Amino acid sequence: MKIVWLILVFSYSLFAQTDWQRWQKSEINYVEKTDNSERSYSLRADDPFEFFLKTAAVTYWFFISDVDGDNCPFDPSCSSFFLESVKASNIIEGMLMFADRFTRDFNVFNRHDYHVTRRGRLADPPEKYLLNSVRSKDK
Amino acid sequence: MKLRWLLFFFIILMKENFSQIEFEKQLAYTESLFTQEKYFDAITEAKRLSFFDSTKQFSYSTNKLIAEAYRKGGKLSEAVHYYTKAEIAATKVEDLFKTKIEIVKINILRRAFSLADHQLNEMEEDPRFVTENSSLQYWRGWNYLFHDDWEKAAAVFGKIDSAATLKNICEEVQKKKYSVSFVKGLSVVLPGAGQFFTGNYVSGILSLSWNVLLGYLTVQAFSAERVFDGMVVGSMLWLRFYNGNLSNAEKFAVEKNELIKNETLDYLQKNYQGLKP
Amino acid sequence: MMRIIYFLILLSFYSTLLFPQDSSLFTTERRKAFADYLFCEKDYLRAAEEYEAINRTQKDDSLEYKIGLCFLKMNDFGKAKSYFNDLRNSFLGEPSRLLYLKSSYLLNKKIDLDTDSLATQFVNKEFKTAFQRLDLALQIKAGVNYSNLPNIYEGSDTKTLKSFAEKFMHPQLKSPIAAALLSALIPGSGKIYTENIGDGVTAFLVTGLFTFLSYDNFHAHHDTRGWIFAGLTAFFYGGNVYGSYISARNYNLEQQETLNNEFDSYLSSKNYFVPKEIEGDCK
Repeated sequence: MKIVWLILVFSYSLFAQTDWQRWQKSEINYVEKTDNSERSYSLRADDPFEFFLKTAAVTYWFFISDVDGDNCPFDPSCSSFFLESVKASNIIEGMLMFADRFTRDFNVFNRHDYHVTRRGRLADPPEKYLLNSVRSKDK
Repeated sequence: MKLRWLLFFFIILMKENFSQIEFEKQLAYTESLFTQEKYFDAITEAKRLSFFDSTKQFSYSTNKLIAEAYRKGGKLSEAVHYYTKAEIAATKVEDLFKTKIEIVKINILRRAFSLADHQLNEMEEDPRFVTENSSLQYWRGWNYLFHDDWEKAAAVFGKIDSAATLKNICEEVQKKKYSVSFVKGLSVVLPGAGQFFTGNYVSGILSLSWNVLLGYLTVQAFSAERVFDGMVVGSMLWLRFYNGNLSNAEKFAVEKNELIKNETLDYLQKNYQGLKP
Repeated sequence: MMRIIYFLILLSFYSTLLFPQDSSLFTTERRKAFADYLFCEKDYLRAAEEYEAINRTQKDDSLEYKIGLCFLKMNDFGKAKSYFNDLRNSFLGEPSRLLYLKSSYLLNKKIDLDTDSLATQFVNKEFKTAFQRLDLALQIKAGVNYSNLPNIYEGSDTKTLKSFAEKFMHPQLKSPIAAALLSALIPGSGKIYTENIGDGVTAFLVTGLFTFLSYDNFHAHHDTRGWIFAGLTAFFYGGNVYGSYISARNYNLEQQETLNNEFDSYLSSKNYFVPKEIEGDCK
C-alpha cells in the first residue's frame, strides 16, 4: 500500500500539466490510429512545369517505386524530396538539392545524426537544404 | 452548568452537521457540473471538496468523480491515477470491484494489454471477488479483442451466455483475416500472387510483369554468356523487384487485417449495446 | 429544560435553514487556502482561476503576484510578464521586476531592452544582486564583451560565464564558401571539413566512380555512354558543391543552437539567479 501511495505522490506532477489548459469532452476512439502519410497521386499543379514534374513522379511511383520494395531510408523519399525541393526553390536549386540527397542516400558509413520518425525513417526535409532556409532542427 | 454542557454539545453537533451538509451540497454541485459535461470545472469542485473534507469521508466519491471526468476528457492516464485513489478509499467490496474494473477498462482502451491481463489475474485470485468470475472473463475477452487476438476472445466469450453476439463477431473476424505468412508464401512461389489474393490486382500484375521481364533479361544475359550483365540485372534489378513483391504482399496482408480489425472495433463502439470499455 | 433540548436537537438537524445558500467553502480565506494548495500541487491554472476569483471581489497585489507566478510556472511567459509589469511599482515591486526580467527573457529567449531602466530600482540588496546577475548573463548571451566580468557571481559561476562569453563572442564556425571551394577542388572534402565525414567520403567515391566510368567509356570510344556518365558526374559534382555549402551553414546553425541550449540549461539550473522563495513557498 505504501508503494502505491509513493507512486501516486511522485506521479502527480506528471499529470499536473494536463490541466494547464482548459479542455473539453473528448470521445475515445476504439480504432487505433495508424500512420497513413501516403503519397499524393493527385496531378493537380499550379503551373505546366509543376504538372510535368508531378506526372513524371507519379508515373515513377506507380510503375517502379511502389513495386520495387522499401529501398529509401529517408522521409520524404528521394522522388518526393525532388518534387518538394523544386517547388520550394527553382529547378536548378532543386536539382542540386536532389543530387546532394541522392549522394547521401548512398552513404553507408554514418546516419546516426538524423532524427528518426515514427515510421522508423530518417527525417530529412528539403527545407533544411534550401539556400534561404530559416532552419530545421532535424539534423 | 447543565445548560452550558448542553450548549457545548449543541455547537459540536451543529458544526459536524453543517460540515456534512455543506460537503453534500458541494458534491451535488460537482455532480451537476459533471452532468452538464463541464468536466474541467467538475474536477476543480471535486478537488475543493476533497481538500476541505479533512475526515476523508468523501474521498471515494470525489476521486471516482475526478477519474470519470478525466476519462470523459480522454485523459486516460489521469483517470487511472484517480481511480487508483478511489480504489484505496473504497470501503465496500462492491465499490472496490467497480473501481478495479474501470481501471482494467481504461487499460484496455489505452492498449496496456499485459497490465489489464495482470490486473484481471489478480482479481481472479482475490477471494473477495469469487462471485464475479463471469464479469472478469467478460473483460478478459475485451482485452483479447482489442489486442487483435480474436480466437482467444471468441473462446472466452463462448463461455459466457450473455456474450454470444461478441463471440460470433470475433469468430467472423477470425475467418475474414488473412494469414500474412500464407500471403507472403504465395508471392514467393509466384510473384504478384499474394497481392492478387489480398485484392490488390494492379500491384499484382505490375509485380508479375517486372519479375517476368527482368527474369527473362537475366536468363538471356547468362545464356548469351554476358555474365557481368546477367549479374548486374539479376542482383540490382530482378532481386530488387522480387523482394519488393514479397514486402508488398506482406504489407497488403497486414493492412487488410488492420482494416478488418478497425472496422470491427468501430462497429462495436457505435453499435454494440452491451457493456464495453 | 427538555423543551430547550428538543428545540436544539431539532435545530441542529435543520441547520441549513440558518445558513445562507452560499457554501462556506467559498469564503475568501478558504478559497485562498484552496488556491495555495492547488498552487503547491502544480495545478496552476486552477490556482490562477481561484486567485482571480478572489481578486475580482477583493483586489490585492499579492493575489496578482500569485497569478503571475502561476502563468510563469505554466510557461505562459507573455501573461506572466504582463502581471509582473503591472506590479513593478507595487509593494511587491522588487520581486516583480526580477520576475519580469526572467519572464521577458523566457518569452523571447533574448534580452529585452525595456528592462534596462529596472536595474536601478532596487533597495533590497539580494534582489538587486539577483537582477544584476541575470541581466549580465543575458547580455553575455547577446555577445557583449565581458573580458573583465564584475565580481557579482558566486563560486564557479564567474568561470562558467566567462567561458560562455568567450564562446558567444568567438563561436567556432565553418565557412560555407570554404566548404564549397574545397568540394569544388576535391569532391567530398567540403563535407569532411564540416565534419560530415561519411557523406564526404561517399561523395568522393560516387563522383570518382562516375568520372572513371566516363573516362573509361570515352577511352573505349563509347561516346554516348561516356557523355551519360559525364552528365552524371556533373550532376553529383554540382550537388556536392552545393551540399557542402549548405552543410557548413547547417553546421554553424547547429553550433549556435547547441551553445544557446547549453547556456539556457545552465541558467535554468541556476533558476535564472532568482531566489526560489519569491516563486512561491511550497514546503
